[in-house]
Amino acid sequence: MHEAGLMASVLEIIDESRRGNNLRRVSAITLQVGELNGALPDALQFAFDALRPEHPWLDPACVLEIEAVEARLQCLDCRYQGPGDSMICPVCQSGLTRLVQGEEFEILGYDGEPDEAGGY
Amino acid sequence: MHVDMHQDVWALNNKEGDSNREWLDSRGIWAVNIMGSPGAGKTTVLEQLLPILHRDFRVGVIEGDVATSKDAQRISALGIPVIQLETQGVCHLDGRMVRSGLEALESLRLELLFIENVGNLVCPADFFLGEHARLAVLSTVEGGDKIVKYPTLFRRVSALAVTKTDLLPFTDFDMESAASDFAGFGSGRPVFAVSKSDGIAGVAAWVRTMSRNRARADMADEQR
Repeated sequence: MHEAGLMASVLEIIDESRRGNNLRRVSAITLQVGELNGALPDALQFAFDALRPEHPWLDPACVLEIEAVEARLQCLDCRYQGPGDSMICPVCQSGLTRLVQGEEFEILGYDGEPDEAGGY
Repeated sequence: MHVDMHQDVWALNNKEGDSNREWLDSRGIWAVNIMGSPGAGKTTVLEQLLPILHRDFRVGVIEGDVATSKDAQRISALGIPVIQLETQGVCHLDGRMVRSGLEALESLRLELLFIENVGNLVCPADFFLGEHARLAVLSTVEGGDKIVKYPTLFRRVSALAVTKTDLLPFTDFDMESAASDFAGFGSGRPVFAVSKSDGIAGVAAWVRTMSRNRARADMADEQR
């Protein structure tokens, strides 16, 4: 729903980090997005392409990689741990469960090209 | 060169909410974020709740709306302090907007605060404002399928008030299946049936218990 805002934050965070690491250009970005997060990969990609011109440090060939994370439940009754898209345990139908993963939105990392020695 | 970050972007998005929470806790204020569709009855629930809770707590309200101060006028008519936040088109409240409301209410030394979010079943769920609990308001006339159609919001609330239950005979809303759909996203959370004339006492009791448990936990922390 707020992919444009999220993508703008992602690019700000990476910009700050790459300056700190003296990297002139960024050529690949990897995100990890949980399937229950609500942020859609297509919309993130669209926002990335739309915001690209504002960030000249992004290599024109820079790719955005989005790793999807499936929702996983842990059942506190029967100890089931595995996929589940509601909070009801698929094995014993208990409601005493917790979400182990599936809501995250993380920048895993990026690839950058160092400033040339003495340059810029 | 590869840079490993593992930076949680949500955490950053919620930074302002975290700072609001500290602000509230340091002043002993317990806050509820109320979320639901436009017309679900969020303001009406408040109009019913406030006269009850007003007897026991110094209570205030922050109203979030895209435009106008109509809701704030309704709360103000009850003699309850209220700040209207106009989001000017934005579809949810965020931590930064709420902070300005908190500061405006600071001198009143509140104990209990309600934040009525912008009417919307999607975006408000993603923004932590610093609240201690979240109350979803869903009216029978919207249809019981809304719980499973908007899972993020109903997954992330602490309780559900089903409003306009006096209209149940005229709708296909089924209280039992709504309660079981809601429990499917997290068990042990209360569901209140509320109409114009009945049911609000349950919500008031929930707020009272939750906020006092919190105060007791804080006291225990201090004694430790």
